[in-house]
Parts: sequence; structure tokens; C-alpha cells
Amino acid sequence: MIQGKNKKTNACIDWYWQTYIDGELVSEEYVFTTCEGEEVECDAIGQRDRKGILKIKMACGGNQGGGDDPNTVLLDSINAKPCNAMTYADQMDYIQTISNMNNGNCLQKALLHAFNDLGKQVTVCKGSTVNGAIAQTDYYSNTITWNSNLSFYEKTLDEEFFHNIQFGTYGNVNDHANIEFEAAIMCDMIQTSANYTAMDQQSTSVRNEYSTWLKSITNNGNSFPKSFTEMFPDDTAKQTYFYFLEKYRDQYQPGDSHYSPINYNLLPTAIFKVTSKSCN
Amino acid sequence: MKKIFITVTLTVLATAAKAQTIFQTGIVTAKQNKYQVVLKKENSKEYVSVRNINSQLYNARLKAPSVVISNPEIIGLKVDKNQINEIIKESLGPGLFQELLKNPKNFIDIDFRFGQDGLIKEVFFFFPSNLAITPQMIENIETRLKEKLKARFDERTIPNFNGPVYKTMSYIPFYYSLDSHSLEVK
Repeated sequence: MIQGKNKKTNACIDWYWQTYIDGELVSEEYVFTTCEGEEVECDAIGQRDRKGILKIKMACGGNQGGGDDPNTVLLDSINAKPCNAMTYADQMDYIQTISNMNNGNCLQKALLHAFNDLGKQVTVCKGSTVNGAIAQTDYYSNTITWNSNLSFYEKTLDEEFFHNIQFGTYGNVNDHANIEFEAAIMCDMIQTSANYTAMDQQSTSVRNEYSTWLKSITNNGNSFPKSFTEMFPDDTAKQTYFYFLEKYRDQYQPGDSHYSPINYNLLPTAIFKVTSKSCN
Repeated sequence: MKKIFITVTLTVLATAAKAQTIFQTGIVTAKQNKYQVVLKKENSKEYVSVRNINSQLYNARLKAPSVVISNPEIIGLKVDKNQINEIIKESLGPGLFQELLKNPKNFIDIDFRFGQDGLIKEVFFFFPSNLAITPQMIENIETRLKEKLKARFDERTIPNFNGPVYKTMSYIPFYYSLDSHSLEVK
């Protein structure tokens, strides 16, 4: 068994891996320091099963003994496991990111549920990505490869999980602009209106228009379209969607993985797989 | 009885008139700055877009690697949203601030352009035209944000970028919306 214990230093926590043999501490190795979020007492317990797959359990707060602790996060709750080749520090980073997502808002949780509903096991590994992308998904090998130079980020993990949902909905399509824009909308809905980012490279005018539109179809972030009819009550609503898709695509250059001709027949229906889910 | 009825009617008319005439498309003046105002209709509602007339980045496209688009996490952008909320609250006054948050359809969007030093280069405002926000309030918010707010970025050297990601960007964008969700920000 491998155990990670936190040691607080003012507002930061220094993380160490402690290895016990027969109940005795035989080694202790510094892993990393985290300095954000609430200060909490956490234990991370890692154990490899007979197949050698590492399972890590995070227990935070005072009640760390039982499996009913609401702060206990098991990797079993998400069908995306870290690969064995990742370092312990990276695995801990991944577990912490999943833990944050599990404690996110309703739509965030719904996304994890919808991803699990796909019923496939995805492996998350660190490695090199095309053009230095933050992450990429290989649908056929069920692998998410994360840029080995970067930490795990909730928003980008959301995007990769959602790409898997899209693949389950549309299959393997080449309409990258459509796919990426729908994923960007999904992520912005999760972020709520406090921080929309899909149009980061557009002018303020377009950003304002996009913000107003997204607020209008989400009742200012309070509810989300659950069906095609709710999102596209008329042809004007469809035209508006494709107007913003064009603006999104125009941020990229030909050759970029987010750039492609726009498919005006591909409407964003994967998003409803998430918005129609319960977050409980 | 008749006199009271007339008084009430006039009050309602005066309030309605005030709500519609604070901003019109054109240039408005505060104590130290002038602002370009554009009224826009979107989804059958009217909104006000306000920017300092000296702004140069309003329509400037960001020059940055495409991987940073919609990925603020890779930039490691950290902005104290509570501080933004406090500055807006102080500038609007508690009454208007509460009124703003009471209606879930109300909001003030602020489009920030940070420099690599973390300081604000420019800010742009966007809000429904029915909000009783004045040009002087806008100036107060802009001035205080520029004085008080400083963004932080991930300083780690990323091999793909030969340095921290934010160093590759002509400016660092951040779009913030003060609305009924904003007070959930910790």
C-alpha cells in the first residue's frame, strides 16, 4: 500500500508519498505542493490490485474512516482511469482534478454521469499531443492523452469527456469546427456566465453577442436546453447558432485541428445527453 | 383623490423616462473620461456597450497560439473575482447592486484585456439598457479596477511555448459577468 499524507505549510499543503511495510513507515518522498482552495486535511491512499492497476482513494475532512464519507472520492466513480505509466504526482493531480469535478455544479456532475453512461473504460495517460494540444482523445483505443508538460485542468477534461459523448452520438465525423464549438458551448455552460471563453480570440463586440445569446438559451445560466425543440424553437435560432459557429471557427487557421468547413446539417444534439441528465 | 392619482402617474412616467435615457448611442462624459456608447438590440432586448474613447483593443484580435483559445487554464489566469464584485458594488452603491442581482436577467459583462504585467490595459462594459447605471459609475468602476486589480499567470516554462504561455500573447483576455451567479464565486 502506498499512502500520501498532507503536511500544511501556512496556506499551502506539501504532499508526500509514504510507503509502509508491515505497518512501518519505510520511506517518505516529497511529491508536490498545492496552494489553492480550502485548506483541508486529506489522505490519499493508493493500492494496486492483482492486475497492477492503481486505485487511489482520497479522503478529506474529519471523517476519513468509512466509505460513506461524502468527501471520499473513489476513482471507481469515473470510467476514466489514470494509466499505470503515469507518475504518482501526475496520478494525484488527476485524482484531485476528478475530485474537484465531482464536487462541481449540477451540470458538471451531469457531464460525468453522461460520460459514465457511455459504458466504456477510458484510460488517461500523459504523452505528446499533436501540435502541443492540451489533450486529445483517441476514440478507438479509448485513450485520452494529456500533454506531458501540463497539469490536469478541469475544463479541458470536461471537453475531452464531452468529445467522447459526441463520438457516441455522431460517430467519427470530420466536422471539427462543429464538434469543437459544441464542446466549447458545453464547457461555457458549466463555467456559468461568470467566465465564458469560447470567443476568447474574437472582438469584444462578438464576445458580447455570444454572451447574450448563451445567457438567453440558458435562462442566464439557470436552466439548460434539454431538447432540440428547446434549443432551436425556430429557423432563426438555428441561424444564430451557425452564426456563432462561424465566428468560433474563424478564430482558427486552416490546418488547425479546430478548423474545418462547417457542416450546416450537423446540429448539436450531444449536448442534450448532458443537459437531460440528473446531477444527483 | 384626483390629485393623488395625477401625482402617482407623473412619478411612473418620470421613472420610465429616466430608465430609457441614461445612455444613447454616441459619446458620454464623466468627470475625467469620455466613453463611446452603442445601443444594441439582440433577441428583442436592448443592451448598452460602453468603452473608453481612448481604447485601442476593442476590435483588436488576439495574437496568440490557437491552443490558448478558450483555455484560460493553460494560461493559469487568476483573477480575484470577489474584488471585482466589491469594486462594482462600491461604485454602484448597495441599492443598485442588490437590484442588479435580484433579477436573474440582469448582468454587467466586463471584457478585460490584461497586459503581461498583470495590469489592466483596457476594459469594456456591456449590460441591459434598463439598468440605472450612469457614465460616472462606469468611470469609477474602470478607475478602481485599474488601480486595484492585478491578474496572475502560470509562470512555469512550457516546452511547447519556450516559456510561460501568457508570454506568447499580445494581451490576456478575461470575460467576466456580474450576475446572480457571481456571488457564488468563492
